Amino acid sequence: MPLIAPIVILALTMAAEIVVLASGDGVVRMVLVGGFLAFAPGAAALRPLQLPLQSLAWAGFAVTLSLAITGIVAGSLLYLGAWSGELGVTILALIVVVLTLVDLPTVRSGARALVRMLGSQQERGS
Amino acid sequence: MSRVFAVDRQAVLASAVALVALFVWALSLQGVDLGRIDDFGLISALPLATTLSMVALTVSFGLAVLGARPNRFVLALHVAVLLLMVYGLPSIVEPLPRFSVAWRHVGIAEVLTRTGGIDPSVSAYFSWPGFFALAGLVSTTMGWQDTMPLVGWSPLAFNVLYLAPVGILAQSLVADRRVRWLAVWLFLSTNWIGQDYFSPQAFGFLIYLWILALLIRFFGREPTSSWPVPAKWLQPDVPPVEISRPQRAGLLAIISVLFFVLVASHQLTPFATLASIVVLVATGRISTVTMPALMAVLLGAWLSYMTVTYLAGNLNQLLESIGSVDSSVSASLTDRLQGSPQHVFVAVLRSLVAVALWSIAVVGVLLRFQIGRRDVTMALLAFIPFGLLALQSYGGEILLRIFLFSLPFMALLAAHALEITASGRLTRVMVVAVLVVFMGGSFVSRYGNERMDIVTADQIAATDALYEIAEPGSLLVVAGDNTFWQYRDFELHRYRKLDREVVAGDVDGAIDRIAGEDRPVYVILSDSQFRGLALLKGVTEREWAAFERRFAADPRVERIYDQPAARIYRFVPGGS
Repeated sequence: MPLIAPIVILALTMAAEIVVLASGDGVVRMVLVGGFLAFAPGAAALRPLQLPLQSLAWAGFAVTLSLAITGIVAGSLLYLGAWSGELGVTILALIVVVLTLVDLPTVRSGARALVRMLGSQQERGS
Repeated sequence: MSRVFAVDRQAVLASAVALVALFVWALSLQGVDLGRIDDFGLISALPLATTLSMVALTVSFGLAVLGARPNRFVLALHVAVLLLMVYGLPSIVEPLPRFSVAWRHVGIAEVLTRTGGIDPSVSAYFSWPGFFALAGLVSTTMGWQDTMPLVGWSPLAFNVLYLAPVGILAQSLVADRRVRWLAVWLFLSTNWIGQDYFSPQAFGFLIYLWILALLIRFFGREPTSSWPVPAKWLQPDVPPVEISRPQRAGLLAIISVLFFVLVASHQLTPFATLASIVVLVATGRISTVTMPALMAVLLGAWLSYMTVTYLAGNLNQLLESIGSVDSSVSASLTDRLQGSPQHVFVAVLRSLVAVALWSIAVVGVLLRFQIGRRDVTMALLAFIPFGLLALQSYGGEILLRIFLFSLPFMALLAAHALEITASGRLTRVMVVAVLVVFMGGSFVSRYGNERMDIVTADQIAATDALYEIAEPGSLLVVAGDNTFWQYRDFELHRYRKLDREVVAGDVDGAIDRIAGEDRPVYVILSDSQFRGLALLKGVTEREWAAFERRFAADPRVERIYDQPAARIYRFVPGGS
């Protein structure tokens, strides 16, 4: 069950990336890309925090945060003179993938184990 | 068992009223006659059934929220229907997205996507490009030509998005569920100022709401120090929500990201946000003591580095206006009370709605004190935005913005007043009547400029023709602000308005203002410009026709486009 949300977010991300790179159009593009831009970056950033918010409020927060992250990526591309829709979506997709992977239970427990191991090595060294 | 049944029956009845109201409203829209719009605005074009269905919805909501056991699903249904009725209406009945400024914003985003860069020397918009960059990336990746598909439904979308942070604020500041729902209703039904169109300020307001909602919800605390406000006056009605340290760190990072986007998107909203947070920190109501400093650094850095071009040309003017409260009030209030008699009525109604809401909010503060609820956080947040009056007039819009920034908290306080008052049957009826009056007054106020805000396809065809005809670098001239233009090729032309000359009937003055140009000059005179001048400046049809006739009679003026909706003239310095 905990894996359903990350899978949905990653699937939406992949679908949006493919549609944009393949220059697809029509309603499918609108739904996939619109859904991705409006939801995925914010949802991926919010999930690790596990904030005690009601589901509708959480969704509203995810949308606002998605718009903010998309705005930062868009503004950066403009100031760097590297404007491209494909590049913008790819950067956003990378952000989503990294944030989603960080939140996976195996990665989390692995990270915790790594921290513990480094801590014990440090203790032995000192 | 019978009690449960009675409650359910009330809920079913209220839901049925809401759904019937929606059904009648939807059917009645077939009878909307846009040709009947006069200076009272959109209300003059609506069939009686449309208006009555909105009244029925409001009455049903009032009775449901003040009933024995308000059902949240029923109340949510009413709010959803209200959203559609108030904020979705123009997009359903009007042929094209309304409001000329929204069209200009499409043009700003179009420049960014077409040129792929930012040139702050073109316009002030490009010193705060965050919102336009976002819109541009959305339109590009969606495969659209421009951001126009986003414009029509923006007010509805923004207001849907406002609901979540407003709900969290209500949940965090108020213990009573009735007051929360009343506040949400008042927030939606009194927001007449129309700053929720496709614009940086609509987006900025969303971020403002979220930042305050998150800080009060997750970083709220019970103050211990009694300076500068006695600690007992800040004891929250609702205990703060505890979150872990990693959650706090993550949330602070997200709030910083939100504030950065806000700083890059809008000139005024960061100041309103920062002022509110400074007061919350200073009174000990929230625990993020370093947040104001971080925000001030972000804001200062943006202003210092990214807006240099704008400030170089406008800094003196900005500094001079600081402290000029009189001129700010005058520009926001007195200057708007002019135009046709019907428009003056609408303008007065707007002021009345605002003053009534603020007055009921003040009563709410007093009644809360009387019943022992001392938390003045809402009152502080409601009145802090008035400090912006000292900054500048903001193009005559500062009172509108103050109304907006204070609205969530005014709505909460007013909701308290209404809820406390509605103790008996008669007072409950009075409160429902107040909700109906607010709804009516606010709706008329919100769409009171519709005669000029509506646009038709032939108007846009004329502007498109202008852009096809005019060579890059041309001077494009209009007679008034209400022109649906600048939605493409924004940076390729120069622009000028002749509104003062038209109002004064000074054709020679108008010619003088374009005669010295060494670039091609095109003048477009359109119905939308006339409607704007008639509404806001009281220009009559006769005066408009006389101005255009005398202007067209000048030997240097050549008519090159002639349609009922608009005429385009080329100005040839030596004569044609």
